Amino acid sequence: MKRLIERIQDLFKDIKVEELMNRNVITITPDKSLLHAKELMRLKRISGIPVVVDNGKLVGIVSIEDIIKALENGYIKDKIEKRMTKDPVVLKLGETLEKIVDKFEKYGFGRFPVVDEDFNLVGIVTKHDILRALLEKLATIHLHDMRKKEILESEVLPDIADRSLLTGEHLNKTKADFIFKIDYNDITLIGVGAAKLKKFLLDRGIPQDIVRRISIATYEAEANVVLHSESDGYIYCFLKDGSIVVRVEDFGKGIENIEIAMKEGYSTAPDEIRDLGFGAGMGLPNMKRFSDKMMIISEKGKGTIVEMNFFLKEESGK
Amino acid sequence: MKLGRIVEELKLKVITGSLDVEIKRGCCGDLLSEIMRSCEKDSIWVTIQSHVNIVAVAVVVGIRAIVLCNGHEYSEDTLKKADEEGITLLASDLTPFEVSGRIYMMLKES
Amino acid sequence: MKISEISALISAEELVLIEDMEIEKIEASDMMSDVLAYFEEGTALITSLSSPQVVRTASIVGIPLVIIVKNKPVSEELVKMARENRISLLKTSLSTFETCGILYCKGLKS
Repeated sequence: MKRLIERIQDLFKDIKVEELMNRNVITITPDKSLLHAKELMRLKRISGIPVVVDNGKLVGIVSIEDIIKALENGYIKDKIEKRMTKDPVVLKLGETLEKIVDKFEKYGFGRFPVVDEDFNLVGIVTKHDILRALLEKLATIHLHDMRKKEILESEVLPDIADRSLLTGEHLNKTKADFIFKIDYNDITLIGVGAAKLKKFLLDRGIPQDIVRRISIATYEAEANVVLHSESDGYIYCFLKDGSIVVRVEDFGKGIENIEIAMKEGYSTAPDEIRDLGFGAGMGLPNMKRFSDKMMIISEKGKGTIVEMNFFLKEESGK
Repeated sequence: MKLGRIVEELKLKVITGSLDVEIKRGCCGDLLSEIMRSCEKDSIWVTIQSHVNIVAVAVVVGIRAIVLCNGHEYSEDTLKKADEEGITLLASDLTPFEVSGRIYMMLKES
Repeated sequence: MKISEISALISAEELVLIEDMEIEKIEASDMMSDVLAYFEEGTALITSLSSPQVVRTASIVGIPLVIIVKNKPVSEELVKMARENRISLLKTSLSTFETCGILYCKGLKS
């Protein structure tokens, strides 16, 4: 890493720690057990946790190495204050990238807490944060874009690309009544497409209860694209005589076993997604529950297409 | 309060574990890290989260029993893990609001 | 029960109050799919999430009132979104369990 920095030093020498640190630090208090720290690391997929006291002052750090030692020697239930690394090596606000990289090289730690003059914890820097800051500065193309291109060029499910999965009729997606591009890079944008579709349908005078069903099912489909596909996607809506068709497509990694995925409670979501209130394993079941007909086609590595049909007649039975 | 009394009063289904456990307080929620942060020991945890990791969270926090609401079912993994760790698993068709409300009332009166 | 009465019972901060309407049903959940699947239109939501999804989900399901517990930080943007979507927003320092308990004792149903 150091050599890389030297080569592009001029571009980066002024980057300060506050520009690249992560301010959302997961911390723990010294009265908790090492077991607690271990679970927190597993849940949050991190390898070290700064230990702080109530007023925000940094007093130590617990790393994955400490946990391994504790497991080997049978003291995992001990309080953190007894076993943490006291006086951890820190970064101070204002330190520049060069100094930071020096510390990473010198100590070989995976992360450094960042403190202000009063030793209050204000952030954390991992190697990942440095890399991300460098890539951002370089405006490097997002890795996923290359992946998307690869999949697009490999002829995504060609036969069904412009045919309805449910009726087999021709669907001209460019002429859909409603089109929304799903951006998968930001989890907080889940539901924006469904909300837009809701408004669109209400403006068209579609009955409220049907709009509600459509927007709920579409919200779930949209969430699946953002959470699981690792690719952008599209929501298409077609207003037909007597029914409304919603089709949600992505170009991502696909579903390996649709039958299992349809089972309520089944989810491949990691804990951090579950911590955002998603990944309850109800996405596909909800789409089925709220639509009158639903068809899903997916293949590992080739994207997913979900098509849902909603009947406009009152006696649709839902 | 003994867990057995709560189970009887709310007609909870007992999936696994002992009812001879002292419950001092309750918590309700579905986000694992939120429960880790704010739930206290000797609690009963009301949730709709059935993922296997609920057991690990219960162990760490010192939660004695979990009530899975809205008719959801525990997976095999969760059951096995709870057996190993000695966490009592309960289930109910009632909502988390009602289960929490009734347990809150019982704890307050005792 | 009126929103203002709910607010008083749980010592809530009224971040957005669209209309002091009558709330008949209330439920607690942190899982968006659960809200989408089981909440009937008009049900109020108690949650420990304060992300934009909460308001978006509420808007799609037809939830008139969202109560955010444990003093979770609520962004200006969320307040704005709630106002735009005509959803009342309360914030309390109580936990989900306590909020359910107090409102259940006062006769609110899920």
